Amino acid sequence: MKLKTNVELTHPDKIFWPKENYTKKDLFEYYEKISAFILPYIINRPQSLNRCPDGIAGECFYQKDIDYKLPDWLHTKKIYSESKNEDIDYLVCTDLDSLLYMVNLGCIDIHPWNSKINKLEYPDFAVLDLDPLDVSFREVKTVAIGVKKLLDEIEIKGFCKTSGSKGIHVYLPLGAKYTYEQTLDFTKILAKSVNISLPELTSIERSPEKRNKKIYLDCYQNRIGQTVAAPYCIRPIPGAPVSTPLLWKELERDIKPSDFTIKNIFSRLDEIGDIWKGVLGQGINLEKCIKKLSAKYVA
Amino acid sequence: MKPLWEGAISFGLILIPVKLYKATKERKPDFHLVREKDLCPIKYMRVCKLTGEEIPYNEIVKSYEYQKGDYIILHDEDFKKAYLKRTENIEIVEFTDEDKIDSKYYEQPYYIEPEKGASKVYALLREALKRTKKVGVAKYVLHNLEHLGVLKVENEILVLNQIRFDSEIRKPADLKIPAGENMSDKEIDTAIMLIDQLSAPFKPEDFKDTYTEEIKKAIEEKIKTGKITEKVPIESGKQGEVINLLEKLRKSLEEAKKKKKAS
Repeated sequence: MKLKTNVELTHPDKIFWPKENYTKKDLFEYYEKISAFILPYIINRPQSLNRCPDGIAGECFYQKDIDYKLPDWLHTKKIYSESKNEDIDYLVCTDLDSLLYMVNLGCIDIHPWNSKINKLEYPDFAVLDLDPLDVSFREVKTVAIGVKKLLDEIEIKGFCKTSGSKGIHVYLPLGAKYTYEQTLDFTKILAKSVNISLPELTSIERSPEKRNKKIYLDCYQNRIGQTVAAPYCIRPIPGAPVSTPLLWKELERDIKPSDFTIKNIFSRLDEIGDIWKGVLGQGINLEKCIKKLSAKYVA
Repeated sequence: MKPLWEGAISFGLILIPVKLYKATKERKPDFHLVREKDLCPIKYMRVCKLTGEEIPYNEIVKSYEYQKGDYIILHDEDFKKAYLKRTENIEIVEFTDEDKIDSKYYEQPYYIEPEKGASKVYALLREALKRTKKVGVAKYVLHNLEHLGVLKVENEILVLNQIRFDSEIRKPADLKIPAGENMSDKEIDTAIMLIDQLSAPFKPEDFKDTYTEEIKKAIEEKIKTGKITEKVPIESGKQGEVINLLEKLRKSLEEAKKKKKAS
């Protein structure tokens, strides 16, 4: 069947969420409708595909290398992979059609790079992933508020969203001015700093056994080729939750990630619009941040 | 033990692949320099004397002041070129009697171990040295410097005793050394008697480094009675990590800025 796009939707009636009875067509239409919101965050970025061709109950698999012939209108970008020691052909999302092409491949959530193809070495934002291991969302919110407090202290503007699953993602706009290494180091500083002020709730241990019942402050998505689920994408879990940008003050309310879904997100967006535009806006000044943080730590 | 150097002993047409181990060790207790109030560890930095700015290793070269105020820069290639004729080997240039070598020339001993497969030639050289009661005089390059050494057998091990070059030994020309003074046989006999009384076979293990032992005792004593400085608390350890990362990032940003300006 054909919609407002060149992309053919195959198996539109396939059930993608068995319990909710949402179909592949529901997913496709969601992305068509949300495109104005999501595209700015994924356009011109290499994509890691998380494909669930049979919905959330079927098998999902990751795909980076597009090793087969694509329709001519789709763009790919050859990027050298150090781990594989070869070039990988990444699919690049360039417009609504390429987004819908990915959706038709079974991509329920969207995993764009943190940098754009014209400036691959320089991420547009830093990501701090608050990833709870067997801890309630209430605690995750407490930690996110702790992060916000630190950002206020060093006078930088950050943005938060639900991961859609259990955690919260904090993004800091960088304006593609700094390298991945600098971004990673800066995020590590923030993570360690939050860990110092909230040692009971948080952990910066990379091995999961050492951070049981804590919220892992994960900085390692700030490496080239690593990806985080994009804002406004659907997660492949029951309820079809949306990774939803939040206002910081909402963290003080009784909200949970499952409150925002494929079905109800649009009423919220009609009301508040895209509150995340700043993520792609003018970046923060790391030199200034370092000065502020140094003043805090170097007595 | 970790080998200090790997190469080969060469004499005539024979080549013995070997490893060199330092035969001596530091005798001082290991002290760590720290800041007193928080045990912050201290490190050495190479800084520019004029600005105090830290200079990375790759920017540091050797220079030689060939006349007042005029320096010539020497790179590794220059040293290599100058040493071109020197082999990578411990090259035995002659054999001699050990007692012909004055003790003030001795500088630093090394143990020599054969590489895999070199046992036979190693044993062969050892046996030949033992039977001839000779030692080998060898030249080799270590740490960019040419050295002279004496190769001998000690308890079935080949030992390389690094010796000083003659040019390193000062001539005692200025010292006032008595010639034959007047002395009686009796005086000499008394002196000899004293020597006989104190004569004993030399056992190095009988002599203890009392200074080091006293220091260690003082440390033990201080642990028991003195104020023990608390281990760095976890928080300040993490703060230390934050501070290190801040410093690393600051430098990285500074570098990037410099590069940008330069381009």
